[in-house]
Amino acid sequence: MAIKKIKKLGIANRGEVAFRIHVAAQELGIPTVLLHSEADIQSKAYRMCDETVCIGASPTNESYLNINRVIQGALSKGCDAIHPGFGFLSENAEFAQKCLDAGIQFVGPKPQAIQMMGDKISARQCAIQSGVPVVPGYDGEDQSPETLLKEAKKIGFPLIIKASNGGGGRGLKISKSEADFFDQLSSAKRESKSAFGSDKVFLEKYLDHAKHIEFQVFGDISGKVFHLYDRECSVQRRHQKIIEEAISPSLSKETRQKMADCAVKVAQEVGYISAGTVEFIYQDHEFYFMEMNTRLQVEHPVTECVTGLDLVKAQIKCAQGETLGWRQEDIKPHGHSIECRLYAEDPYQGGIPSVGLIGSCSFPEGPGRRFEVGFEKGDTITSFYDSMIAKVIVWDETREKTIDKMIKTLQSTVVFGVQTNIPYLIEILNHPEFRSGEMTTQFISKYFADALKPIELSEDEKAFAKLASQMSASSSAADPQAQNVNSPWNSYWRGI
Amino acid sequence: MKKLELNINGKKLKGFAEKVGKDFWVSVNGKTFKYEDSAAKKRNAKANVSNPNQILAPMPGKITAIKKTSGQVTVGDVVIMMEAMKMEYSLKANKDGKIKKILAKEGDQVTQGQLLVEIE
Repeated sequence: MAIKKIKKLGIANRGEVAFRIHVAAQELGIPTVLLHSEADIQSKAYRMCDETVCIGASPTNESYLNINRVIQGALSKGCDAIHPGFGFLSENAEFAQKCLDAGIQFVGPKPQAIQMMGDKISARQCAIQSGVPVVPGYDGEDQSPETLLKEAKKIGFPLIIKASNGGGGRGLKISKSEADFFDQLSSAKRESKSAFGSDKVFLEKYLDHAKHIEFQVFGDISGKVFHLYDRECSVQRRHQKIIEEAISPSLSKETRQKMADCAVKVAQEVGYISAGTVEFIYQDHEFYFMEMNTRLQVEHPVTECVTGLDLVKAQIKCAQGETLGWRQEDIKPHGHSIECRLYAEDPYQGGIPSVGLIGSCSFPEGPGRRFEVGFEKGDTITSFYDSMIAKVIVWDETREKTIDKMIKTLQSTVVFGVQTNIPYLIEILNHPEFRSGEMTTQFISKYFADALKPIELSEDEKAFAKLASQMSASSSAADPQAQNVNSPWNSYWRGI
Repeated sequence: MKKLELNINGKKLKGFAEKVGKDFWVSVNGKTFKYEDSAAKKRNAKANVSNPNQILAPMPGKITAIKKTSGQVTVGDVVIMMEAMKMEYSLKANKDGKIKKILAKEGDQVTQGQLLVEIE
């Protein structure tokens, strides 16, 4: 494939990742166009990208999820490539195809690979074909109780009995042992029949203390697939990752190598090009393929920190038809890295989003600290999108040191104007199970299901706040000019 | 953001403070919070005379489940679940009492501050 330099890159995303993509493009000498919604004129990416074009109203289906508007926006500014970031249209095969049809290079894998991995059944089939373990299960046509019991014994207990056509937990039963199997089975079939009109069920091994471990892979234009080691993302709230780290504290050298080989095999099976992630469930030293994400990952910075590679630049180069010149044996993880997602939410009220105007923010720069910021002073967090303000990423020699560094970094991170989850993150980082590295995906529901206890202030801290507020009041009273924008005590609006 | 070094009870404390909108924000010893002086407390208390007999939607979003439709509730009981910004939130009773009326149903889009439940 001939090298075809990108002349102008459209960024079909928002927040911190839009700015991240801009930086990568800038380093490669490619001008960027931010394809944004109405709400996002108050964001860092809007101010930093070379050009901007508003593609629609704030609701996502009128802008970021609207394929035609994104493509029209890109064409209107003469973009010859689009980076989809993550979320939104990044894993939409139709979008990738339509970009190509419009003569726009899609920064990511081929539409066929997106399609294949986007469908749970074909993804599972693909894993099985490449000899990669999947969660043991049975979804055959023979639904006689005897066959089901035979299959159940093969899978092992405990196991989940699920309605084949189901969803949302209805018709879902857990059988702990052979003794209660028929009871649970008939109850699952009954519920399934009444809820979904079919009593067909499937059986799956129940993993109740599993970890989420994923492998970063990268398919080079030459056809080689590299793995960039693993990340552990077991700290999740309602399937949303909160804290991620590279590499996982749980894998032995042998298991890591086995999993890496499996991840590469799955990617090769679909002729994968560009950055992708193969997700596994890991329990009791066994691992099972879960799914493949055919895009850049939110938590890609931790992999960049431990490998020293730049995934976004690699994606862009790949889209230009350039080979990366990597060698697998040169890619080695070094030290440890953790990412915390900083959300505008109230940890004292169970994580309710805290929308509104952001005041000053202070991110304490230092060696091995990286801040991926989406919003700055004067921007507004709206309720149209998720409320992530920034990602805080740190690197240090060992996991223990990295955790300590993250706590220190978060303690001196200041965001005014909206509540943040910083206190919540710090409690998690200090939790013995997290420190031990033994946390599973049950961690949050086990220990952090409730809102944090109200913040406790010492007498000194209260006195400090009181004095500061009195000083502020008297400074603006004594000096009427203090109402102007130069006063540090005033609020400000900008970007309108 | 103004950096402050203040003498508190004979000790030097460093921190930051800033007024954002109507609120006064303070950060000291790694703790960031909104500070309310007595006037602000009074003002906010008035603004929040949140009636404990009511449960309001704290943000715009979609009602995903009604956990209690009638009968007794005690403080902290989850009455309604809602979804906003891809996350799910549980709205709890602020007082003990009996459910008088549920003004929303599963699947409803609600606006911020919308009355959802009355308790008596």
